[in-house]
Amino acid sequence: MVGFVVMLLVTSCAVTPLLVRSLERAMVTARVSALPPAGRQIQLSSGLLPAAGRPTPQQLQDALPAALQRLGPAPVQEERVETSARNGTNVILSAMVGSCQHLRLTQGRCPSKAGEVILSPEAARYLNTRVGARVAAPGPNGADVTLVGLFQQPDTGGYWAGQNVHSVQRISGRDGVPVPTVYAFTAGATFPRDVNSPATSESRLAVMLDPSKMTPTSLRQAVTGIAQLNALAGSGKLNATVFEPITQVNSQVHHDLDQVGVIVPLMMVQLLILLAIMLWLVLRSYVDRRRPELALARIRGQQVDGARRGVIAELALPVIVGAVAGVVLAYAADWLVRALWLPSGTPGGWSGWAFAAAGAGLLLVAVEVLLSLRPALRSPVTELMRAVPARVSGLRLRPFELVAALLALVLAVLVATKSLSGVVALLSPLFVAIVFAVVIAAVLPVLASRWINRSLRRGGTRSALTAAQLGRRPATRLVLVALVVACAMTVFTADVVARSSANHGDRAAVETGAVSRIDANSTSILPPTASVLKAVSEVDPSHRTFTPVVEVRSPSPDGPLTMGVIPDDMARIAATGGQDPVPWDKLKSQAGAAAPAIVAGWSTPSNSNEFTAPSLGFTDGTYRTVATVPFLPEAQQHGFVTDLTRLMQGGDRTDNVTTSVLATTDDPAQLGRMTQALKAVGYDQIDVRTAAQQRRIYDQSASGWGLQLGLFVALISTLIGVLALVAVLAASSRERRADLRALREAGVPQKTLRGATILEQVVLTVSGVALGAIAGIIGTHIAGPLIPWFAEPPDFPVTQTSVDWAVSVGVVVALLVALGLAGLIAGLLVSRREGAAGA
Amino acid sequence: MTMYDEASLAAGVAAERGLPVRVTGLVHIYRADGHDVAALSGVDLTVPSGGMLALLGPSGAGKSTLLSILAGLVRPSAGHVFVGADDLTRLSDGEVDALRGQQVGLVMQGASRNLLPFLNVRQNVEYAQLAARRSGRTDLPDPTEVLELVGVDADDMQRPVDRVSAATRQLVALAAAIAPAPGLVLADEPTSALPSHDTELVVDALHRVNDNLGTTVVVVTHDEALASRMGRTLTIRDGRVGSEGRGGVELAVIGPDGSLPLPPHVLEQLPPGTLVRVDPVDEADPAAGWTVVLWQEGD
Repeated sequence: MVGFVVMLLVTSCAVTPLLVRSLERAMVTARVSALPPAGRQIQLSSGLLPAAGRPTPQQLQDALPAALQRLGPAPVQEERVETSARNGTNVILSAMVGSCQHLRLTQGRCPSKAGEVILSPEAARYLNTRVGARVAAPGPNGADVTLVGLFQQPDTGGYWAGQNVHSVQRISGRDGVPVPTVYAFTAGATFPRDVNSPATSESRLAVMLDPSKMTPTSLRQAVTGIAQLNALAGSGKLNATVFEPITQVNSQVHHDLDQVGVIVPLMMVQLLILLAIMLWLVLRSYVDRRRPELALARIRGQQVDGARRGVIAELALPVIVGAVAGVVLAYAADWLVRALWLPSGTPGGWSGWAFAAAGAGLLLVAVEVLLSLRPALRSPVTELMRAVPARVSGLRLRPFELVAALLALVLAVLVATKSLSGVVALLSPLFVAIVFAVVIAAVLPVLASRWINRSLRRGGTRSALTAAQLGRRPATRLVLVALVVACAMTVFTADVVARSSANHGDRAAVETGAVSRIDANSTSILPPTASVLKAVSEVDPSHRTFTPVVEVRSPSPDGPLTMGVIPDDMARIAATGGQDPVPWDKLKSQAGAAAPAIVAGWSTPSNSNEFTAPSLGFTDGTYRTVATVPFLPEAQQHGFVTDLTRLMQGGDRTDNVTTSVLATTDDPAQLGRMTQALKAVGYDQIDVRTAAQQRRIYDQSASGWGLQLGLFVALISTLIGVLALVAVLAASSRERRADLRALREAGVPQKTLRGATILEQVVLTVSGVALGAIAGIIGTHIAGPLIPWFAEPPDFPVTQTSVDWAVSVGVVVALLVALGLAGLIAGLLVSRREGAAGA
Repeated sequence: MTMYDEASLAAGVAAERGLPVRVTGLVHIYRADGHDVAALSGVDLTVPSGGMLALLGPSGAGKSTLLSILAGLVRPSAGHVFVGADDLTRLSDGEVDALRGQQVGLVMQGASRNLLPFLNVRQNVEYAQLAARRSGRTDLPDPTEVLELVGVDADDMQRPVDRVSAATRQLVALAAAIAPAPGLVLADEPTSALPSHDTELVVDALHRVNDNLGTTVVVVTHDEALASRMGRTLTIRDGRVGSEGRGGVELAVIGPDGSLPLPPHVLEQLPPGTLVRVDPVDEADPAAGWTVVLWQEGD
């Protein structure tokens, strides 16, 4: 048992730095992975320059600090220039090192000489050319080029950084008008090397960031590398501009790392305290069983040091084995967390901190071993020779228990009064549980004594025996402390995990607006608003699954945002985010000149009841607030909803207008059909987002992962509760046998004795779980508003911090069943064994 | 060379190892249920080096308390306890533990309480020598010879202690007590719960230890057979020395305050409250004897 608890304790210590490291790495990986492919690269660009002042791509690569080169595969060198073909098509002529290896040639060959190009079949058609023909005037200095091959682009990931080089793109030109653009790949020799040539071109170097190579350390080094690069560019030694996401990622990750670095250790500290209590319980039980041996050692002249050496030598093996197993288990747990929980590819590896933490855990074990031996070693030999320790009676509160209880009480009050805030709040259930546990342990002998007296007056032998067994054993006090703390932590952490999950889901759903959302846009002029309505009606005539939303923005970002919706659809489709349903029906009111509007209390469009805001006409419309709700779907700042039909009656402008479709499904097939319908009515930029995707962002955050760690804490806490029950039975088996033998000889029936033993376990379990549950619920109530539910809290009031009663009750029932069964089985085994011994 | 070889015994080395015991004005009061209880109320006692003494008395008379005080397990409320030249009342706990491990061997009541159940017979004797060995002593006897001295069969020496007979277990407990070659052996009820044949084995072993090693032996017993073979007995009554037996003759002992506890059979004749006059047979020679005369009205 000692070895097992030492193993858990050392695991808790060693796994903390491992988990912090893995979570930190996962945070960096997640942030980098969340970047769009085009933004996931460090890019150096010379800009359009003649050969005389332009650094070559190789010179750019030479200037790239090693810390940045290590962040991904080999940098991609490119020379490019944008020219126009005779038919006005924009041609991006690019000599990209390795491009041929990442394209599939369907005809012809790769360019090998100056003036040779390859195109996609679509681009060749657009330029009206074929392999072997000359393409008029797309060269860097206006010279014609020859088409030597056609290519297919297998994918846009990896090397291509999200660039679609296959299709004809419509890219905004200098005057803002979209211009058809094609890519043409050529050999490096196409670009003039003559320093006297006036032709201009651009040198580029791109490092695609590999998320699996991004760690907090490499990120720090990358920040330094970017600073060096910027300094080089700023000093004029490198004629290039740096485009990079490192600074942004570093800024985001910095906050995440701060949270991870606090949440994880605090969670683990609670577990560590519980394990320290459990170890104390086990050690006290062990020392109690060694009392006769200790007495004999003293009688044989081994003095206190000798007796201590003997016990320590005996404990050394299980402690060392437990510590080694603990470190192995910590690495296994870290591996499991990375494999099953964190983003795939989160790297692990050896950690000096893990071994240092394991060492600290071992030191704690050593201190506990020495302290647990102290009372026995200080006891007179005659006291040690007693078959059982002296019975406990009266109100018992040791000085350190008093100090612990007072300290915990002060901390709990400080958290409750918000004098102490932040993630320390996570410890509040522990504080409350310690206060409860110490008080109940102190008064237990008194309560038991009264219970005995009352039972005896009523003739309840079994009840009196139960009370006597509970009251007189010192181990009962400790097991009650362990049970209360374990149950409090289990209830609290389960509550927090459930509430955190619900909050993440609610926020994601509200921000998405529904289960999923399709943003429909166009690279050219937006189709008329009615188009989106037409597309939805085609796919879903009854609007059971899809509904259109049209948003009209103010020119100013602080201005109101008008959202046109179909009220009946929204009642079915819009996300509620845990709040009462929005009174959509009120939008149907036709009374008055002003259109009815429902506004969000957290960010109203105006301070007055009637206000003006953008409409689909060329002038603002007038709106009247008919209801105020805490927040609205999509949770847009200064956003309000109004009836779409009435909004569309006001005009048909398309500037500052965005259209989207909310859906009750995230089925790709259904969303695909809707996407096709939107494309068919003229929307060529479609972006599909689901609440599940959005939720993943919150789950894969510092606070998300940190709070989910509570599941692990809850599991171990329950296990410790079971162990505590078993430990108290093991600790008291000697005195229990002596008691029962005496009672049997005094004529107490075996049935009564068995009943008393079982009842003792039941009372212990039920009182421990009940007190722990109360402490956990009080802790949740105190800590709820202070827990960092999100890495970046939402502006709108979607976060619920109150106790989740359904979860709390469920956990209490589960604990009662698990611990009750453990106690019942242990009680039955003990009473049977003792019965057999007495028979 | 071990302590118990023939040459040593012949030279009488062992006889010099017995430690004298002297107890003066011993008082011990303990608290029970909120009340002070006097377990010992002024005990004086002397056991010479190499002597044997049995402490007798009814249950609760204080004899086991006296033995615990002699073993240094309990500190007396008042008085002095000399074991050899050391006054136990002036030694620290550590010094008392060290003295007990090397100079005083203790056999507690119930043989099993003296032995570690997970060790075999011989290992238990070795364990009892551990403290002496750690202190640097090199003159410790071989455990086998110790066991042979008390009469443990060679076949039993490698057996676990719970696999040997009750008598053997008691002999092993005695062997463990004398393993560090102490000058004083204290035994609490060493023959309790043993049949008469086994009692003889234990008494013989105690005598062999006393005769061969010169070890002073003090036992607490209710066993008449054991007491009768101890040469000298001391009966403790109500926390005082009630009487002393020498060579089978029971003698009353005048206490430090002049009191004279009478044996029970005398008390039957002279009940409490009886007035007597104590006169010398010959006033010129007090050693000639004393007469106790009942006082009657008119005397």
